[in-house]
Amino acid sequence: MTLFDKFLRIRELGIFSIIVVFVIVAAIIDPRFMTLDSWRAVFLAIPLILVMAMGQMMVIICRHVDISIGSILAFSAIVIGLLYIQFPGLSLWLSLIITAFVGLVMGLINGFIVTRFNVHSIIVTLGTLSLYRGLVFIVSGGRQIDRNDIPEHVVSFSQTSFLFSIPGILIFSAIIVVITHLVMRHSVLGREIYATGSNPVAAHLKGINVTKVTLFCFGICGMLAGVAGLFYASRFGYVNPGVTGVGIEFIVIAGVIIGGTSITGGSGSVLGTFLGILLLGIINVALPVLNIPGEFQKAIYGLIIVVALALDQLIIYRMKKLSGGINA
Amino acid sequence: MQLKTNNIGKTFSGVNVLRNVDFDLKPGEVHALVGENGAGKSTFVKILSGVYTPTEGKIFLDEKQVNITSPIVAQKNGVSLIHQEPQSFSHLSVAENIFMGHMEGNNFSRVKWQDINNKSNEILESIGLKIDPKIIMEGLSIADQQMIEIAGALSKNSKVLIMDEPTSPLTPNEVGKLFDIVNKLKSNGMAIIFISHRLEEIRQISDRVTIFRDGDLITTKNINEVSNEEIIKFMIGRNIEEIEVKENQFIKNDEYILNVKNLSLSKKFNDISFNLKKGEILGFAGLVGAGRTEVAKSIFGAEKFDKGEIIYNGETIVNNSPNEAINNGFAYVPEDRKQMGIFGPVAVEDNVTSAIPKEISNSIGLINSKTVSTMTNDYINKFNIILTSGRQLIEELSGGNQQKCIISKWLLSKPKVLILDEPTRGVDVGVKSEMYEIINKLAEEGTAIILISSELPEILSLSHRIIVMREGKITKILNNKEATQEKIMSYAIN
Repeated sequence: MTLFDKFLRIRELGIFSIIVVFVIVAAIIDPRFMTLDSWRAVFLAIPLILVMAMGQMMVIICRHVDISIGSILAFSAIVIGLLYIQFPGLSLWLSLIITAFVGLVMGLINGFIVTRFNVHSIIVTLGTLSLYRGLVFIVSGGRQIDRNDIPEHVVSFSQTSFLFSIPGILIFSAIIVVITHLVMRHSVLGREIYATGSNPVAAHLKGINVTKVTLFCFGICGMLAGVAGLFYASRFGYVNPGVTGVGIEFIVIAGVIIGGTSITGGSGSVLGTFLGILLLGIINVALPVLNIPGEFQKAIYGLIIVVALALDQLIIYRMKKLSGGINA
Repeated sequence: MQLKTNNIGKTFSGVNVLRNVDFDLKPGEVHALVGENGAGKSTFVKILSGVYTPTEGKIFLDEKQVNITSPIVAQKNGVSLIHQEPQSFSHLSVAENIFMGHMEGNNFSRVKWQDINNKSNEILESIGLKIDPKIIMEGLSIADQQMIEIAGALSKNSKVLIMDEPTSPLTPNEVGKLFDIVNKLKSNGMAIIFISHRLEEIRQISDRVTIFRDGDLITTKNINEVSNEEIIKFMIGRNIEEIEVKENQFIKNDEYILNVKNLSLSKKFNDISFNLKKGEILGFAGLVGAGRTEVAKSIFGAEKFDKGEIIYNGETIVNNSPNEAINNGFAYVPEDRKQMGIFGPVAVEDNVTSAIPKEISNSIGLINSKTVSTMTNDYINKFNIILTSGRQLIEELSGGNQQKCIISKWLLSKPKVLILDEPTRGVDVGVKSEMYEIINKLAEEGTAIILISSELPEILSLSHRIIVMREGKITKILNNKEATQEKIMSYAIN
């Protein structure tokens, strides 16, 4: 095996080098990209995605996928927004607990349908994507939660004024990332999640409660999407039933996959997922800085993601071929 | 630990597949189970290992009655099943594969990596396996994966080990290693149930043998007190001569249909040259991993080659894809039936006719279901395929019948060159001899056949000439007059 092959083998290093190349190219094209403002924008944008990506990664490692997370985010954001209208003094901690609980319940519903009725998770969560979005409209009566409905202490959670000029959502998401890493890499349950995704039949035969493991992943994924709802309300200062969280599942799932998590389950790492999300965050911030016209940005963003995913699969395929894992 | 069963029976949706099984297994004994496919031995061990619950009867471990309701309960009682296809977690480490499902602590406890690595090392060393427990499972050979599964059973302090056809995916060399381990475990007092279709192996490793037929336990004998002929007689309930190594006439004609020259593919095989006559059966012997399948795939266009030439009917050709190869008159029956040979949840007739879409459809591409049925029925009768109807899903058939379907499929495309890769793996004795008849008949009709097989008696009894490969190279081409098992093995090994 050449040095280059070995390098390709460490997935995280591969993504990291793509990030470095991208940043250098962007900085050469327009030095404004290297200003503090751009990077502040990156690190304000990613916590929300990152938190959701941790849960999504667990679900994907366990061989499923949850595409309802955008609607879970919206529902939890609407619920907390409506509560703020009634109780403006609601504390941040209590808000966290409420949004986490709302998300947890919705995630467990997904997991329950998947495990109890043995329906493919894409179908189940495609259904609940629509169902939960419908609940958002019902609960909110179609009305938007406005900037002045959201209390100041909640808004400041995502401002640089929170702690040593580090935004609260960044600190909080960092904690979640570290906990996820410890659970996935070093806990018995975490290893059982990998085992379940790697070979569900073998996992069952080895006495792993596959249903429990699957429910756990969906539950946590929903819970973190719920927490992301609070992040959303805090950062954007409004919650719109028809806009909030729409299409966000694509970015989250793309980030997880780019980060090296196998869509067929069993492999993936927190570090990789973090780098995948970071790459998407950087691209997102770079596009306007690089004078890409507004109407093109969304299409180009999507295009880059699709190309990245295709490249990624190509690399995996080549690696397997090099190592003799594929014959054809 | 002593295992006893009393009157075990199992009924699936009204069909009685196992009846009144009284069986006993002693500590320190290797007890072989034999029987044709569908005889009930698999159902029986699935009951012992908790995959199925018996409809009636009792299981005793050390004279104590136990209710084995799941694989976990079985394992907790010290009964472990080693699967025919190792059930591994390819993304996880060897140590995790050994300890998965019974690591210390609760869900959120930290995995004691050092602990499980050390323990894995001890267990692996105790069975004479040199594998670093920290490496990832992916890429390990089937044999290693099987040993690691055994290590997993040992880590659970199993007292009864059930091995379901453990040798079928192994090379002769690896079988030897496995038997060393089995003997070691046996001398430590492990009770072992060993299922195999290969009587020579059973003779070599087991103390007693129990024969099943059609859901009944026919008899249990000490291996020294029963001959192979008797075992086969018990298995099929009628007398048939054991497959013997018979001499084929060397093909006299000089009609070369295929001429392979210096075929090479980096890291897989090197400088492969041979020719093949019309109506000839050319055996490919060698250990698994010798490159036989890779050569076949390259000829068939499923894989590229770097150098060399394939001359077919006097013309140089390159099959760029299996599709081109089929159009050129090649057919390939792959070794991995489940993954590459069948479309599982699809009807038998659609499987059988899947390689000839043009013949079964009309001018606008719609499939004529009558043609499909007639074509399939021809082969169902010809090959004596056991099924309820052509619409039955192929995955519901037994392995041997599936294999007959796959061969039917390729025969429909009227191949000039038929490549058979391990055609009788996991197939019972009865079907095997039927397959041999089919293969011999095809050759008589003029089909040139490349036969890849790890079973030497099979190669010897069928082939006109035998190519022996080792590590990607041809080490010897023997004709059937001079070939013996010993000779082939010596060229295959060194």
